[in-house]
Amino acid sequence: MLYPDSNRRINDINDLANLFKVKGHLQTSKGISSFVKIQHGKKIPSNFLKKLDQLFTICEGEFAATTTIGQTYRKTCFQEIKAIIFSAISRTYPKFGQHMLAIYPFVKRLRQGREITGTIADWMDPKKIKDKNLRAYLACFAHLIIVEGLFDELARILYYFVELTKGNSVSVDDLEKTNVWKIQRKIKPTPIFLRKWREKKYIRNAIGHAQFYFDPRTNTIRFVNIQEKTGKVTYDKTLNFSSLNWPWNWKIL
Amino acid sequence: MELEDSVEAFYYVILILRIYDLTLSKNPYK
Repeated sequence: MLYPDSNRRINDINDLANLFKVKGHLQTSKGISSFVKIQHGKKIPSNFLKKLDQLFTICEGEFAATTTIGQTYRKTCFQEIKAIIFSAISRTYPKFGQHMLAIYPFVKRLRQGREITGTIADWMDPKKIKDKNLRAYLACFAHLIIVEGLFDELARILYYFVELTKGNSVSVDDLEKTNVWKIQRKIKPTPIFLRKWREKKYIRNAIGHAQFYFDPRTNTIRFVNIQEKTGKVTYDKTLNFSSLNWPWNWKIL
Repeated sequence: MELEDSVEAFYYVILILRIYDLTLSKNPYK
């Protein structure tokens, strides 16, 4: 065996493979299982990194193909995040695990937000909720959580990794204090999910201030943003809504 | 229906990276 605790490692690899299998990512699952063989051997094969990279390519393909809508968006998300985290690992290995622990509170919050949007996603099927208005309002609520609770947390996590690649370690306090506007200036190129941030915020504000109007006949939602002090309209746009498309597909990406 | 794509991608990348750790690290459970 490769390590004294290789049996435990094998169990963990099998658990990982099973997790992807349950998700329906069968090729990725198969690819993960193939790494068990290394644990049975005496040394790490020289093509290990190449093999791992191939696994990422398989995973990226299956991840992008999960839905018929927005495949390019999903692919780009995957590639950008992979590139940032890979750079951070190569810069900090073998201490990368410590950095993962440091950002755990952010990952935890990310998970909480994801649970809410996940529950909404599961219920967005027109067979489950027949009322169009209700589906539209739920999608709006999901947008609010995605922009406020997911995108900003993920932006903080990626910003942390980007700084690691430069040899800097951002403190958790500083990470808490920063916001997406500042992060956007520091992560170049801007990750796809942070693009058109101003528009996403306008829509979020319209939802938060109940200034959005759903028209079930045309299946569109109008979002209006009015500056409180001046009364000036800063945003007024009508976007197509389909219960099959999530807010990020409201043609603003 | 899928969850938010960027978050999902983040989790998948982190999960697969565990293979890196389990194969190369002397103590991946530290």
